Amino acid sequence: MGMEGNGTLEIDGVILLPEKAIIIDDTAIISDLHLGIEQSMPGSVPRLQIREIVEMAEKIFDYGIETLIVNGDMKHEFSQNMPYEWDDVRYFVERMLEIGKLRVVRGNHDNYLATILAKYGIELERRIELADWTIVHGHEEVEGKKLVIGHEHPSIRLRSGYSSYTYPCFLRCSNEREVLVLPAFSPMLKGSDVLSTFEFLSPILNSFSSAAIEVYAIEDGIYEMGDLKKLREIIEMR
Amino acid sequence: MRQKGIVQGKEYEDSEIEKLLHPLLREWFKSKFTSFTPPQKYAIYEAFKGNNILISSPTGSGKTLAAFLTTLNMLIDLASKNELEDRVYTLYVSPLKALNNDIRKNLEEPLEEIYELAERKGIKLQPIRIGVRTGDTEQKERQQQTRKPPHIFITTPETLSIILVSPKLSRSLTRIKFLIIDEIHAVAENKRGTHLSLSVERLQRIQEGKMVRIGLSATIHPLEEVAKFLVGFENGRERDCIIADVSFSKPIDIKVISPVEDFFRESSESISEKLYETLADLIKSSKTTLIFTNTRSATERVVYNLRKRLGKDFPIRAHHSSLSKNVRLEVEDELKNGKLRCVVSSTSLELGIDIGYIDLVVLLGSPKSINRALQRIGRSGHKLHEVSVGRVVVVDQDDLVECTVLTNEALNRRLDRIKIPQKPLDVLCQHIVGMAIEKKWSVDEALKLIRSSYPYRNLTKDEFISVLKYLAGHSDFEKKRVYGKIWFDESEEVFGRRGKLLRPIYYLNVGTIPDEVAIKVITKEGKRVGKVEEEFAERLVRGDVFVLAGRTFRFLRSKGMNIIVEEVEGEKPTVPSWFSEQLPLSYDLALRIQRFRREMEEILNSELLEFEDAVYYLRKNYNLERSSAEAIVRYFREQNLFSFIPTDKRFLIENFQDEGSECYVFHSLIGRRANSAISRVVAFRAGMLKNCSVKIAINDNGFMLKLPYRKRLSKEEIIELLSPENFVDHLVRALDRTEILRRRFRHVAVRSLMVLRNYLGREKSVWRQQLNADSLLRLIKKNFGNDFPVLKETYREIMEDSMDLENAVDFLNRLRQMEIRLARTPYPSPFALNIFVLGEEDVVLMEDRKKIIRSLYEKITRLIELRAEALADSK
Repeated sequence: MGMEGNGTLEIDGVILLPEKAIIIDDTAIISDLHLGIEQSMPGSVPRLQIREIVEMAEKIFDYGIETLIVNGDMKHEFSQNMPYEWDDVRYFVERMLEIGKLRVVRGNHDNYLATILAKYGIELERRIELADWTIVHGHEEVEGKKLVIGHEHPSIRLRSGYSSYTYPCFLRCSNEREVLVLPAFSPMLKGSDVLSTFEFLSPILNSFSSAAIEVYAIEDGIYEMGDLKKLREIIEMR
Repeated sequence: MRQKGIVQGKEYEDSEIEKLLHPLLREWFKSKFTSFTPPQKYAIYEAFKGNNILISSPTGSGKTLAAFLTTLNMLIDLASKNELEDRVYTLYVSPLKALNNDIRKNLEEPLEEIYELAERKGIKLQPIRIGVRTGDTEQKERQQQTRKPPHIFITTPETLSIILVSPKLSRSLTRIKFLIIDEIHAVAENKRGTHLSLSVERLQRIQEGKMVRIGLSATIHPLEEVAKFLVGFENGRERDCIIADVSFSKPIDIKVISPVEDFFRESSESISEKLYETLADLIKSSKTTLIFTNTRSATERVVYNLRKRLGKDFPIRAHHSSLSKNVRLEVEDELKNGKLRCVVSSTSLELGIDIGYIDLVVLLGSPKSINRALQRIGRSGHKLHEVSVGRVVVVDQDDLVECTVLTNEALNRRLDRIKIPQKPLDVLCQHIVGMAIEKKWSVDEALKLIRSSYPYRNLTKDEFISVLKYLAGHSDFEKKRVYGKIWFDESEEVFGRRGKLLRPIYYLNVGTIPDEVAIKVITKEGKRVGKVEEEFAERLVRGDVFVLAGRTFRFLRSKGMNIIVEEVEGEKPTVPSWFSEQLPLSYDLALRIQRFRREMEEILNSELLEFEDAVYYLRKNYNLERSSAEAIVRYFREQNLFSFIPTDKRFLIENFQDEGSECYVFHSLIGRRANSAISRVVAFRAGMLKNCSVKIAINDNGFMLKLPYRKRLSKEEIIELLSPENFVDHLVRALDRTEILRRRFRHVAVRSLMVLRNYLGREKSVWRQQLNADSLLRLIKKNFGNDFPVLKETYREIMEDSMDLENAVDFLNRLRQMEIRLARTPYPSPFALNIFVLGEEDVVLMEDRKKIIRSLYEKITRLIELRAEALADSK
């Protein structure tokens, strides 16, 4: 098993992309866009990520897919009723609909999103069945043997000299169940370092031992880092 | 006759001053004192005449009364006529919260005595109120102050900026007669002072009459610049100010002591043994000794070792800013009451808290600046005409040379020049928000006010507008307003506040000192071992080894706001001590040491002079003991024999191999701040030239580059690397992805109110919980470029405040007139030794993110293959 020329990696019919997405059949799945996170920060962070998010999402369509699924937490938070808070969501949806189909799974941050999506004829779905996979956000336990979830924002943090670097990653967890965890699509989120954080946010992941979790780090391509247990050991060895 | 600009003051006769005083005050004064002290002779008369004045004089010289006597006179006069109103007449601002209560006491005592005197004479006086307001003042007292404002109001810079937007209290601040700013020297050089200078100009705006400014400062140079900082500008011209320079009136006795005769022939154990012996002897021979170390950790270490020698009951204690407030107060009290024989402090006792009788100050290691040396030594011999006695105990050969030059300069009163930060945009952000809360502004009106503050005198309109646009949220790529703190109409050029939340946001986030969230460090057994800064915790990766309170720990995992560790002995830390407390050597002093080196070289190379002559020369001209003079001559002679002596006329670069890598030591004696800038640029260029990563080590005396095996630099290449051309551009590129950039960016982002540390009473760490600081930095660069105010200020702060860009470039320009000498040596020369043993402190990376993950990936693949082979073999 190894990386393809374009940096992608295929496991069991699922293609992992360096664009922080996976492809199943003719559909790509991304998760945790957290649009509008800048505006919901208590400060004056300017609008920063929308352009990069749209560019990255457009690149995913270049792989020849027809549908893009956003697997939850498309919008960061809806606390204030500021009209321009919706700008990022509208902008993203409109750009995607120009190229292909868009489906959206509800996440824990997605209050009030249904209204705005309805205007574009898009339903805010609880879960989506695709091939033999169930696509859910992952903030609550669900039934299903094969799941694709988000919510966790997995990443790994490495040191080189006196600097440390964070790489988003996919997790592939398997026991009697199989769970594929997507990294956060938003470039602004810190991510949760699976090497040094031992508890998962998603209740779905609690049944997996670290030896049952495979790590796939993302940089210019997908790097297969082996299982989490061994990876933690190797990193301690230096 | 009208005086002009900044002028030197003069001493007035006692009789001239007495004539001005109210009879009650005159009588009280004469019953207490025989004469006015020098600062009083300079200041009181001028303040009476309504002239701004800057007083520079040592502690214990009656400075407080010099500043306040005019106020007391005015208030007593009004009180006797029953004309005292409910408003603030005098506002006193000090950066030291601890000093505020002392000042109140020092004013209440004379007032009590004067009231007694008045009562005996049957004169009725209205009560004069004194109020203190800081962040610690209770709600009840605050309300009282708002209802009935104190006549003398004592506060801190931060509280002043909050009072300015308080709708009620600010109304009693519109007819201030005297504004007294204490300890100016402690703030002029940092952003707290910049912040204060803008607050003062905002206060000036709401004045209905003349507000006389009185500044108090310790020894500092040049006073003209501090005076300008105090009074600011009006209509583009600096306001008038009189300088009362009485800083030289206190005699000093200062001497260098070397604990050993030859630092190279003694082991480090025996040096440290003799060092503590020397300290113990000094302590025993005097009544009360104050020892200054340069770091907090050294303070504890010295107390621990001295207790071992002097007995555990010997009255000696530590005093530094990491100790709790109660402990510090306890130590101060014991000191004042004469219960202690010795106190060991880092910087916390440098400033003006009254510490009672000290007869000896010991400086352990170079204080790195002449001003600081004088300030510290001035803490002994509290009375004005008493001699201040200081002993500088040196810790190694370079320290000995440095302190020899330093004491000589201090005796000759050649001071370092201060450096006032120029127009920091983050501090400006806070004030623009504060101003917007006060009222609606036109751009020109606001700019005029801001430019009247000395640090902002050169602020351009473009810079100002870019900050307004950032705060208004115009920086959005679609030119839409996003989440502005203020509104700004660009075509009409007016701005004002937006939203009701702005006032509480301002209250909770004003200030310039980055207060960090502390993360608890816990062992896996659940034992608490201490705290680290949040930023530090955030950069830890699995497997990292770091030092905390002298012990070594391995980072295992994070859990909520805690980190879990295990203690490991003898492992090399993988995380640098970024948060180095090291004081940098001042550039001016560095240049004098360069000259001293030449002086030594000339003596050593003169055929007529021998070893003894050189020793005699040093003893005579530098007031050294025989052993110290011999140690210096030997040190220079060895360097001279081994390689060359670097001087102000010769720039020496030494090259040698260490474990295969090529080491280049650059003997640029210009202080670590300037060295830090040059070393990064040179390392960056060397990395580009040789296509490799370059490790660097920096100290005050120079810097070292470490290149991989066989990456050798020729002399021509080195000269090329030292070119002043494109220096700033290369420095910006060398800073990419460094910890210093990340760290300073976070601080500036908080100070610019981009990321709030406190939002509506909830202190939550946005950084730790959500934000990826690296991406934030990257996206800001990508979307708005390096001129975005928050980023622009980050680079300015790093290059101008943390590093010394100006002098770095100055040095490189001077290289053209210098001899540049490259010496290839078999091992580090005596002068190179201290830089060499530092080890690498930072690295200018040429490799990118890809390389790091790839090398780990390859390691894993190799391990998997090995295991597979092992498995196959066992079958």
